[in-house]
Amino acid sequence: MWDFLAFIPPQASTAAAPIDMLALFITAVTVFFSLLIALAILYFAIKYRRGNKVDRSNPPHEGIVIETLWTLIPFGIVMVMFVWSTTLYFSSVRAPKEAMEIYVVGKQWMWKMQHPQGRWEMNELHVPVGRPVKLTMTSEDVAHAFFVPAFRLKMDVYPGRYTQLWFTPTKVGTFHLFCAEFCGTNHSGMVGSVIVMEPEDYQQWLNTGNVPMTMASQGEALFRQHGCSGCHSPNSSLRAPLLEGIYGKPVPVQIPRGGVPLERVESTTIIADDRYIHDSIVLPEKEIAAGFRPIMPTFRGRLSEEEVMKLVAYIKSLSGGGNAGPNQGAGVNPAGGPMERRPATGPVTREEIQTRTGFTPGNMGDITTASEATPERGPAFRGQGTNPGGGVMGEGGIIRDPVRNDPAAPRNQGTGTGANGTTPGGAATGGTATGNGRTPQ
Amino acid sequence: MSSTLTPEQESHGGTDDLQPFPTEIPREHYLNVEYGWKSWLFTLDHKRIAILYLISITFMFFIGGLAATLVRLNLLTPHSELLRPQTYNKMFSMHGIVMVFFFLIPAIPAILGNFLVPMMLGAKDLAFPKLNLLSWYLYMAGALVGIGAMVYGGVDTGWTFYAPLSTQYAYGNVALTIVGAFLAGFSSILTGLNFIVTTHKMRAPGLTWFRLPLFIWSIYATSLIQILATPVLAITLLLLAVERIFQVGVFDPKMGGDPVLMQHFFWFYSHPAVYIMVLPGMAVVSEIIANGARRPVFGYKMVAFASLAIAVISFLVWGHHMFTTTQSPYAGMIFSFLSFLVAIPSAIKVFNWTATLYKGSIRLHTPMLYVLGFIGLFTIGGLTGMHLASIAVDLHMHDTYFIVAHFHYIMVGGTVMAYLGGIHFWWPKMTGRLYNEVLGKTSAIIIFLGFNLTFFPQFIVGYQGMPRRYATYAPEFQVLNVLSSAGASILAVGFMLPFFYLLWSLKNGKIAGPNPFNATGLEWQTPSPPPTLNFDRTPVVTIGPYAYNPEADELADALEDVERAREDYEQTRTVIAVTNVQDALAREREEIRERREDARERAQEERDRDA
Repeated sequence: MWDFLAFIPPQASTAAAPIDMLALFITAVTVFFSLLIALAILYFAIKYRRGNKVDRSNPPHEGIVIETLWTLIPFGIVMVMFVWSTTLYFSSVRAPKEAMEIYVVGKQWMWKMQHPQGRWEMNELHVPVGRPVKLTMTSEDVAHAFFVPAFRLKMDVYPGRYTQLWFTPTKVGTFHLFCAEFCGTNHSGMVGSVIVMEPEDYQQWLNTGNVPMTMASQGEALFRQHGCSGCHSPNSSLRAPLLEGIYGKPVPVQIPRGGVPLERVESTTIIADDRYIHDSIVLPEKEIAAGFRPIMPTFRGRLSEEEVMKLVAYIKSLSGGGNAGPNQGAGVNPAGGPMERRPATGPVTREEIQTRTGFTPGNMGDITTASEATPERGPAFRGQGTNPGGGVMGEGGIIRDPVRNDPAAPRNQGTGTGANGTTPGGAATGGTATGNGRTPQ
Repeated sequence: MSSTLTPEQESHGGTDDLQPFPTEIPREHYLNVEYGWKSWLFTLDHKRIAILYLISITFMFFIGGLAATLVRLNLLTPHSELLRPQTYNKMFSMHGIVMVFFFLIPAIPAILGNFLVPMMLGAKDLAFPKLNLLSWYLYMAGALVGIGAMVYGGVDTGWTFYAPLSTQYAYGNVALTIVGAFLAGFSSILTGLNFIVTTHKMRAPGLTWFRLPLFIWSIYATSLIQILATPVLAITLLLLAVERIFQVGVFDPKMGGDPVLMQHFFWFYSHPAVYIMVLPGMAVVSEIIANGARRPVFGYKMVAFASLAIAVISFLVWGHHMFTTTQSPYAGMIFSFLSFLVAIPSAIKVFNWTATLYKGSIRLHTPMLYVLGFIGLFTIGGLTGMHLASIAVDLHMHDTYFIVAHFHYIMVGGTVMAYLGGIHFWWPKMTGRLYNEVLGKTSAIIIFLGFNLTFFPQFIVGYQGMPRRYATYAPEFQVLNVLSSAGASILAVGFMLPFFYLLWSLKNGKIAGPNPFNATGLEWQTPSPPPTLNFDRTPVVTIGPYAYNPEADELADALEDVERAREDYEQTRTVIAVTNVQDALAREREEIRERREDARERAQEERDRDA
């Protein structure tokens, strides 16, 4: 039905036709009113041209009726557009649950796509036709935007956060992929193609070429390699939240406020989604699992966004891909949810963190100060799962310990520039871990 | 002759009195009262400062135009044959920064506003003449620093300076360019402040708010935006510079900042700034359309309030630049609604201007051609804004050439057309000379055609998906890009033309006289060029603006025709014809006298009603 408009790009997603329809409506209104005004001007300019003998008596100076009319009619028309466009937008703003996920990292000036099954590609995105696809996107450097004109969709891609774009391709073929947000010198070279394939071709494609391991297994390897398992495992001697089953679930967290001791910060819950896991890895001071000491080192600058995505995929796989399955690892406390109970034995020293993770983290100052402080009674915000007596063997042979928080210990400094040596406590400033692509001058 | 204006003439604008053709300009006026560079660089006369602005802003316009020329030349081919991508990026950044901060924002307020606001108000000068001069120096400092930075090292962030590109990754002199824009911002704030105070405090006796010309209403609304929004830009630019120079994390997530916050800050200024650019254009249009149609602007109060409504709503729509960011969908919905709403006052204005032509006696002089062009192009520009206000369509259109076409229809088709119309309309007042009318009309038509050929194809190539700011592009977009570049070359000719014939008119133009367009408004009640203090006596205003009467003008024209015919016949010494003509003349004169009496009576009634 769109053939009469030859200049319209191909419609290759479910979003395209409704958007074209709305755009066509607005264009029709545009053309109608532009012509109306242009013709009125021409008509008047000819009829009432100087010297033409026409009736010019009593030109109206104002007219309440007509002015109200041409206020209300345009208002009515734009409200039709508003309602139409907003309903259309809201009907498709959330990705369907069954959408297959693909991870996208933009960097100057290329796109890297990572399929969960393991295959990755540069500046090309292969997707099956007829199936909703959800892209989880982030950037290594500046802002980009993922734009596929044939899908009529676009979403900005930012460093340090995840954005999502979903679509259902409807047409097999190769379509333009553009970066739409100006991103520096070779912005116009940050282009590629989206290749929509028949589902069976896609399956075949997925299993050929570079398929080292699934993203989750790659993430698991990273989880060990970077020492995450040193704390986040049932057998660890350090008290850190277990990660099995948390994905997609509400988790209690404390969001530190400057100058307020952590134990006085009330806990709140947020959904443990991709963003939460990402931020917990690179900005661990931002939201602290409630009841735990802020001893997580930051991995900012030590992990690329791609690696973080693999870790996210791994943690997600621990929950059976978003739904907490029954196969939770040993040691989950059935009473208190997945984040309870982890032993902590004494203060965490630099050496200990170093042994566990293999590096001196950027927020080392915070970590050591917090942990070396005198143990106090924990806050009462989460009774379940913590033993107020302290140091008692709990079920499953795990030592419980009251939450320790030192009111005198400086909290993390908000922006997390732990590398600037502003943190007291004589800790290493960890200059290697600033994670800034460019060294500060 | 002007020194002997009667109060009657002052209030009436002399519309129905035929001016004898002036033969000389006044002996002393603001241009020749003093000579030497000091008399210009230290002047406190708002008219001289307007001329200083005119020279510097014209210079900036050609710098920005030069960059645009290179951009369009480069886009002739898909593979960027002329410039390296890096240079291309610097060129479009320079084009945007120069045109927005150093041309569009100051153009009409600082040149025409500076010249006309005190004269339209019947004042001797602006409220703060020294502040006015300071604002020009700030502008010059900003322009020189900005140009210096862009020539020496360049800047490749686009005029939007998005972080973290601008703070961490961009090459070139970003910080220095920011300083330039920062200084120009302060110049803008001071100008706005000056206009607001002058409008409140220095109106001539009898010049009530609803007797103000619509020019003043629009400029007043602009000034409100200037002083309320520009400080936000200033602080945003400062934060950018701090992040870039001192590596303090504000916008870069790697240092704990938030890039979307920067966009919020930026558009909180830059969307109202769109109206800083276009409201003064509307100011000019209202004046010229009344003059060209020889009748009052239809729905004066609606037009005046529409200006204020635009100024207020413009502060609440910035989020429509950010539908594809992480802004919440619900915020997006509100911004979409408000963006549709801001279309309404603009629509009212367009309808009212069009209705002003009804029953007029339309003269298509050069300024009028520019202004009719404005209405057509602004209408298209405004209506295509609705594509972008609707979230669903904007997801496709955002950051494509559709946007480029849309805002050029507003900025060039709107503001630049109005600016040129205004320059042509008040040029005789500023210089005392008339330009060549044929060349004037030619330039207006060339610009109109060239403009459409340049920017209309961009709507299409945008819908096809060509992103903006691309040095290289997919080959299927080439045809439309070539059309666009061809149009740009026509447009360039159109812009060069007025530059030359206006300069030429300075020495060779006919003497204009105080009121060559037979216009109402206080600025026409004083000689051209005006004396330093504008008026010999403070004018007293007794009626509203636009006391035009199309019927009386038609009769006056008829009288002129008959007089001319009589002269012709006298030359041929045909006695009978002369008698006939004299009879006809007598009849015409009788009729004119009667009609004029009627008109006077009507005016009197109106005055009574007003009172």
